[in-house]
Amino acid sequence: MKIIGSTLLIIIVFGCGISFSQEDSTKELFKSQHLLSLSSGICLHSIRDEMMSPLIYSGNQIPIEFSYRFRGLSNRHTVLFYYDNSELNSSITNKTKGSHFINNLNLNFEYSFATKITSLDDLNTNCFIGSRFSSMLNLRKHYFLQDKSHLTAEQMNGLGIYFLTETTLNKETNDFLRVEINIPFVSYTVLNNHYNANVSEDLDDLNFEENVLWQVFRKGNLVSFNKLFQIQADISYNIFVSRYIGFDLQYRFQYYSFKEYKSLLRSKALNNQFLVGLMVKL
Amino acid sequence: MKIVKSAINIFFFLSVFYGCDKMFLEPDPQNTPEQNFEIFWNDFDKYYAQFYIRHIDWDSVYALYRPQISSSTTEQELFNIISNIVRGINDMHIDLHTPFGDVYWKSKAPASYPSKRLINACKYIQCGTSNSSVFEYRPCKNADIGYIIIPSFNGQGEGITLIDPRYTTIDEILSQWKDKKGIIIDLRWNPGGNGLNAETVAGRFADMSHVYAQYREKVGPGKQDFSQWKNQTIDPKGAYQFLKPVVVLISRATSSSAEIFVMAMSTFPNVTIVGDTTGGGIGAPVYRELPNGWTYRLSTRYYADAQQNLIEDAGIYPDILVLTTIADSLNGVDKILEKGIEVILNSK
Repeated sequence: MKIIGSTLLIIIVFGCGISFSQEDSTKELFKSQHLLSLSSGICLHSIRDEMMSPLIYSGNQIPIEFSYRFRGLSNRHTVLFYYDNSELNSSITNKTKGSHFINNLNLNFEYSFATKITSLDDLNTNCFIGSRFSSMLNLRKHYFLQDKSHLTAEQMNGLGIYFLTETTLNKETNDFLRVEINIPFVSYTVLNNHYNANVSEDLDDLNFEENVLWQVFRKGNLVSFNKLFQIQADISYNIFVSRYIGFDLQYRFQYYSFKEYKSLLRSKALNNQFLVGLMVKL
Repeated sequence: MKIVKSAINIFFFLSVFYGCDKMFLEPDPQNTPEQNFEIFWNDFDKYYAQFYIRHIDWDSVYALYRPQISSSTTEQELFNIISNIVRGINDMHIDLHTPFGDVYWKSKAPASYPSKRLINACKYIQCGTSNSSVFEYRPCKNADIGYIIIPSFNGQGEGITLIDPRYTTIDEILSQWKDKKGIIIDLRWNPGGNGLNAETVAGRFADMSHVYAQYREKVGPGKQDFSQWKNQTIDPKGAYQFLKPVVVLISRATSSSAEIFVMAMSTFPNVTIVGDTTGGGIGAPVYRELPNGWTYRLSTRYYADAQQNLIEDAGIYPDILVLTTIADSLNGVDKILEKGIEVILNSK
């Protein structure tokens, strides 16, 4: 039933988009753009994995993000890849003993499609709606004592409702402000229903001499808001310093809350990213 | 001017979002004696799998100790209370790590056990060194038998690889010793480590696939929330399996993943287990931590062998029981090793 509902939602979202885009596509005189950007800056992670510890672990790292954006007359396509590998500490991290810290690998892949639904001419703003496929891996190695560690992870592949607005700030240079919000409504998640680091049906019958990642991936489940709430909001300010070169100043807010075991154990992750990117207009 | 305005708006927006941290992640629990005790007690209540086996009424533990803790309880007093509880359970996979010291279980190994690995190495084994990073191996003296000590099963691979590849070097040792009459594997001082490493080595002696152990795990917070019995299977591993006579030497100090190894090996028809009963603790422990920085482990499963004989607390009985006395140790006599050599020499 959930799958049927989700499918209907996708059709409605895309259907609305396409019908709106057919109306608007001829109205505006706009040259399509292909934008490539390579960004870095700082990300601030905070994680509480109740399956492992009652404490918040947080830390920062220099991430790398690569994106390709297509800005058409009435459509937007984005492909994005994000990576960071942070050391997260808690209030009790003991560096001299090499204990109580997490090595946190965060990988993110996204493809977004959006189509114009309306233009707010007074505000120089175009509004878009669409969908985003996002795949996220948050792999954590918890170090308790010098050589004692546990590996945990969330891997979620979600299809979300995606809202985008673009406000033109300077018509001559094409500088614009972009605001994006994505909320996945159906996700394929792996490593579900962990009761503790050792106990989960996903871990039963694994053959550790073969590719464990693939075996675990095949044991995933489709989930929705009952188990996973995820939201991502981006604000970026795109300035062009020449006809082809620009900068992308970006803030991204990423949050998810994933129920590991019934309603008792959750893992919650918050990631604030401040990125500066070099942007090339093709 | 417009750009400045936009920038101000952006930063306002960012600060609103960035200030939302506390809204999304509740603050850490308070670091008070009461809270630390409550978290410790509740963690065991939710996750620990062996109260019933060890005849412990956990609610009574709460009723006894909780009234002794108040906001004025010092860290030292809290340590004394929690370490009393840990010692009371006496599970080898429960330990406590604090600035006041570490608390472990009380081993069942008798005082007569020699403190070094081999009582008189050169009396039985050819002198010299043939060590890999995880095995110590040399041929026996006066007998065409190979002898391998596995000091532990510690270690795991890089990144997400859970098996330590160093343990696959057993293949090289076995290919050197293909023509030996038999092999003795000494686990008498092996405290365990990573069970996958134990299976990696045991699979090199497997004639076929065998169910070698069963376990039940705590799968929910209720006192009776246990899984059904789950089978653990050993399969032949590696390019070559050594199927000639093998003796595994065990003692009260043989524990945890080393017991996984012993259970797996005991299902093979060519293997004889010699020595004293093992330590009796597999448990699949997890680490937890308190807001004051203390770390502890607790067992999340209990194990039985393939015939459902409980291993936790009881240990694994050898096929041939041989005990070491203080007099043997003082005289440089290793009766367990002697029996192992005898078993192989007498095998057909």
